[in-house]
Amino acid sequence: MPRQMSDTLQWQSLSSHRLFDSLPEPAILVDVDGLIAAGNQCACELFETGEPFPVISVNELLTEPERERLQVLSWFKKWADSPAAPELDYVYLSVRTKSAAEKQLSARVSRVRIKQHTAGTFETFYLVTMHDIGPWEQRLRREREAHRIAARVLALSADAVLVVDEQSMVTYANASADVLFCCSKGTLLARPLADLIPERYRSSHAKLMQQFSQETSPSRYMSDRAPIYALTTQGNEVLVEASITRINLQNRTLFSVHLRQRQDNKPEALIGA
Amino acid sequence: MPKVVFVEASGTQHVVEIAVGESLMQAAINEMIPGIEGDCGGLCACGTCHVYVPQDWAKACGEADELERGILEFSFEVNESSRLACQIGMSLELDGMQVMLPKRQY
Repeated sequence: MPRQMSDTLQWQSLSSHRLFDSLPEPAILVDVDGLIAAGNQCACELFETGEPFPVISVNELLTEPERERLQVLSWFKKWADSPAAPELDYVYLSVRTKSAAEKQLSARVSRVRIKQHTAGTFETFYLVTMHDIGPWEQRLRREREAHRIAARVLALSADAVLVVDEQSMVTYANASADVLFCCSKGTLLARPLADLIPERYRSSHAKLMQQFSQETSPSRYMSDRAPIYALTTQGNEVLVEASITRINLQNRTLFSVHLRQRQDNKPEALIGA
Repeated sequence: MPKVVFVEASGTQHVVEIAVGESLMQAAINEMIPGIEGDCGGLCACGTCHVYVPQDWAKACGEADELERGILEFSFEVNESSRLACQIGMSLELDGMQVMLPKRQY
């Protein structure tokens, strides 16, 4: 037997009722005035309401600040009209359970017409399915913090750091790289790495990159074989220490290049003189 | 290049040079200003680049459209000076503006 539903909604079809009730995500049916006509078992568990779900305004599920500013019915209408609205991937509803726990829920909304059993008339509802994004958000927050630390360390590193893709195009350059190559911020991006190497080394460098991409070793210190020169955007050559690291991602490989200007910087012609 | 000062809720100030036409959000992201997230990349869909624009500068920033006002409903501690930095394009008129950041974007 289906559990008792509110008087607001008399299900015409028992199968519809069971389908709604057995949805694996919390779902509520909200009428166009914002009154919750039904909530499935998952919704009852999420909001700790017990069964049946109480007939209350959907605003009462929201936290106080959310209740004050959010025109939730307007959003339900928009999301029912535009199920692929971009904000659906980013915004969430802050709700409060019966025990006053706050949760963040993503929501998807569709418009359904249900025939009222007693009156025999159709009524329009918003079917709102919800997903608790708390665990996901915590993970995202940790990842964001880790990213921020890494980005900050890289940005402020005294060493010049470049990241190049498999086509040897620069995809990242930190501030020290801008200084080393004598260029303004952002201008190294999308440049071929070859532009930053003296012409006489470009061919051999390309072969070494190819060779390194096949190796198992994830990184290599390059300055122990021969002097390494960087070519600034003003055409000057700078003697550097260099190392390279391969970064294997899901479907591509990147290379990070770390450069440090040598204190004994001399034009090549003077090396060994 | 014109500058905007981003003031964190703690009072820490960051002076950022911004090219005319670039959004305040993008400039803040480029400079890694703490407190500006810009999750959606400027689609006006996430509300995580919420800033407070002082009344004196509001006119020069232009008015928030309906979409921006709507997304701001999901932001925290919104008031009448709230704007989304992704919707404010830099202009010479905004040179020297100070915008305040909320305590949090989430």
